[in-house]
Amino acid sequence: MATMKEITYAQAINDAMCEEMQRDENVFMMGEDIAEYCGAFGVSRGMLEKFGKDRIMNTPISEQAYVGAGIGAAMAGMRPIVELMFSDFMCVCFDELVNEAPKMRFMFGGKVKVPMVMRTAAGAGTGAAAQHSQSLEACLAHFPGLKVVIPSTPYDAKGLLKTAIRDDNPVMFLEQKTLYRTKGMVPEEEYTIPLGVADVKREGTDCSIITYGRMVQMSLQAAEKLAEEGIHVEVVDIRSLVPLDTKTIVESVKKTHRALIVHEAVQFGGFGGEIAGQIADSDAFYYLDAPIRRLGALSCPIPFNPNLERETFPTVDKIIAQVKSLL
Amino acid sequence: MTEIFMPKAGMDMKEGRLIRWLKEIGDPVEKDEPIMEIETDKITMEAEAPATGVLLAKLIGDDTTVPVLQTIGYIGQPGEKVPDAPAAAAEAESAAPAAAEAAETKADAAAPQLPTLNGAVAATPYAKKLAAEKGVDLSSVTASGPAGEVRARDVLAAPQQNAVNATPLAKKYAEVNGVDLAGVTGTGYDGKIRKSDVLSAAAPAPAQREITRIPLTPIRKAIARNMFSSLHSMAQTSDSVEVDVTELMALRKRLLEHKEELGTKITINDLLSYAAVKMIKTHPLANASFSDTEILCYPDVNLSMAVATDYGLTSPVVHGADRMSLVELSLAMRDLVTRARDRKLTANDQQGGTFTLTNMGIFPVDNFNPILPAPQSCILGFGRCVEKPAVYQGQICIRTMMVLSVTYDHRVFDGGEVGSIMKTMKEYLESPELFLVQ
Repeated sequence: MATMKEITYAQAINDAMCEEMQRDENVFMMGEDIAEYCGAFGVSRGMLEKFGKDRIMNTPISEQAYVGAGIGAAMAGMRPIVELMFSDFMCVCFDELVNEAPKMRFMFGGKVKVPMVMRTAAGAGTGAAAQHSQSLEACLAHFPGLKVVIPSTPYDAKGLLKTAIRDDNPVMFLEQKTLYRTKGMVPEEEYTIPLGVADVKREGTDCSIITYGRMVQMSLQAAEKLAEEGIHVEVVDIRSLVPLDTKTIVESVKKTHRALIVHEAVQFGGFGGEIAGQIADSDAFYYLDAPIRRLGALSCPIPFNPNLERETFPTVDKIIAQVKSLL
Repeated sequence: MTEIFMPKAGMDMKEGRLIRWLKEIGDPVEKDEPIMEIETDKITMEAEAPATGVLLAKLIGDDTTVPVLQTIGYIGQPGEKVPDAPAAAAEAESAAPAAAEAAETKADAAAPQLPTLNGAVAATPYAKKLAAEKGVDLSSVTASGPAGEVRARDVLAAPQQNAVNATPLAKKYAEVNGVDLAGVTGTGYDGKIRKSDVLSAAAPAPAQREITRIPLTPIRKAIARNMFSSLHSMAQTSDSVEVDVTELMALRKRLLEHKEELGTKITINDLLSYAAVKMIKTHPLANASFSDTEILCYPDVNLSMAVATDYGLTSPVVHGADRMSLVELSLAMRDLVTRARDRKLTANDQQGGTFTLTNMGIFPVDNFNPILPAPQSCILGFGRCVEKPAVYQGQICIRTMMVLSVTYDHRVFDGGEVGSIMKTMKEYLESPELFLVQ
C-alpha cells in the first residue's frame, strides 16, 4: 500500500520535474523568469537552488528563439522542458511547434528524434482577458507528431509529466491555470501514468460526460448534484488528447447510451467535435439513445470582466441542463 | 403589428387557459376592447386588445392552456404578414460580436420537430437496435423523444408482437379466431401459448367498465392546492352552536316590505354577514392572521364570501365591509355574486380578504367544518334555517333554528376567545337590534 501525501497541482508538476532531472542529467528546463522568479505561477520553486543555472535557464522574451533552441537540444540528445508562460504565446512560436518539432523524426527517416516537453499554463478563470486565457489544445492535436496532455488532478499531473519527459516525441503539456493551487493525494513512491489511457473519474449509468482539464472537476460537481435527483452520470477524463483513448470513451457511451462532451475551449471547431466523431464512427453509434452533445465556450474572445468571463464557459448549471436535455 | 400575450394576472400565475376568442380573424378590434376570455387559477376574466387594428392571427385555439406571456395572436393592419414563429417570451441570447455570428449554430436552442419522410420513423440508433432485437415494429411505438423521435425506453415499453412464444397450432387458432397473442397468457413450457390458451382467450370477456377521468382545470388545481396547504400549515379547529333566528327571520320579513325604499332585497345572508362584520368590532382577533413573529390584526374588514359557481368555488371580497351600512353591504355582495357567476370578477375582486363567511343554508346542512382560507384566522359558516321544537321563554315551542359553525386558527386565539365570539354572534342573531345599533 502506497503512502500518500496531499500536495498541490503545481507542486506535483515541480516534483515530477525534480525527480526526472535527478534521474536523467539530460533533462533541463528553459523559460521566461523560471529561475529566481520561479515562473509566473511559481511552478519551478526551489529548482534553481537544486539544479543550478545550467539546468534551470532563464530565457529572453522570445518564445520562437528558445522553443527552437529546445528542439535543437532535443535533436542533439538532450531532454528539454520548455515553459511558455501562457499557452496563448504558442502562437508566437507556431512555426517551431508545428513545422519543426513534430516533423523532424519523420523527415529524417527516424535518424533524429525530438524528446521535448512544452509545458504551459492554459485556460481561463483568472481575469487575464482575451490574450492570456485561451484553450488552444485543438490546434495542437491537429498536427501528427505532437502528443497533447491535459491533466486534471495533482496525481495525474505528476504521473503524466514524468511519462511525457521520458517520451521520445514532442509532448505538449497544457497545465490548467486555475488548478495550480488545487490539492490532491499523490503517492510518495514513484509512479508514472501512460499517455493515452483515460480515467473514469466517476461511474454512472445514465449519461457519459467526456471531458478533460478544468472541466473534470466541474463535471464531477454536476454529477454530484444530478445524483441527488437520481441521475447517474459517468465522468470520463481523457487526460491526453493525443494519443486518445477511444476505447474507454466508446465503452462508456455504449453503457450509458448518451454522450455529453465538455471542454473549456471554444465549442465551435473544438476538440469535442473530434470526440463526437470518434463516437459516431464507432459501434457506440448503435447504442446512442440521444444526439451526441457538446458543451464548450461561446464563440467570442474571452472577456476581461470576470462575470462575463465566467458565463463564457461551461458552468455546473449549464452541464446539468445539457445532461437533462439528453435524458 | 402587436403581439397578443397570455396575460399574467398575478405574481404566481404560471399558465392560463384561453376559454374562447371573442373575435374572429379579420375582425377590427379597438385597444382595450375585450378580445378573449381566459381562466387563471383564480378567476375567469375577459382580456383586452393590446392595440387597435384587425385580429391577424390566432396562434392557439379555444380551450387551450399555455404559459403566461406566450404569444397567442397578433393584431395589426389588414394584409400585414404574421411571423412564422412566435417570438420567444424572453432569454434572447445576448448578441455576441461578429466572431460568434460566424460560428455557432445552437443545436439545442429549440427541439426541432423531425420530419417523417416517406413514412420513415425517426428513432435513435439504440432504439432501432433494440427494436430489431426484440421484433418491435417502430411505427407502432409511441415516441417520447423531445423531437418526436422514438427512444430506447419507448421500445422497451412497447409490447413485443412478433416475438410471441406460441405453438404453430396456437398461432393458427389465433389467426382464425382473431385473437391477439400478445394478450394471451401461455400455460405451456416457459410460458408458451398453446391451443387451449387461445381458445379460452377467444371467449368473450366481460365488458370493461372504465374509470371516468376528469381533467383538472386551473381553478380546480388551485382549490386543491389552497385547501391542502391551508390544512397543512395552520392549527385549525372548529366549534358550533345552535342559534334561534326566529327574530332575525321576522326582521328580514319586515325589511322585505321596504325593498323599494331600500333599493335592495335584504336577504338572511345579508343580515348574517352584517352581524358578523359588527362582531369583529369587539373581536379583532377574528380579523387577523398569524406570522411567525407576530399576529397581524387588520384595520379594515375585507369580507370574503365563498361563492359556488359552475366553474368551481370562488371567494370574492367586499373591501371595507366595516364601513358599510346594511344596504350598502347587501348591494356590494349581490354585485360580486352576480359577477362571479358571470365570470366577470377582476383580480382585485379576489384579493385581500381578511375574514370569510360561507353559507350552506340552501342545502339540508346544519353543522359543518369549513376550511380556513390562509392566512385568515377565522371563518364563519351558516347552516340552514329550519323550524324545530325549542325551549323559548320556558316553553317548548316551534322556533326557527340555525347552526353557526366556526373554524379558527388556534395559533391566533384560544377556546375562550372563540367562546366569546360565539356568544356575541348568538346574542346578535337572537336579538338583531343589538347589531343593528352598532
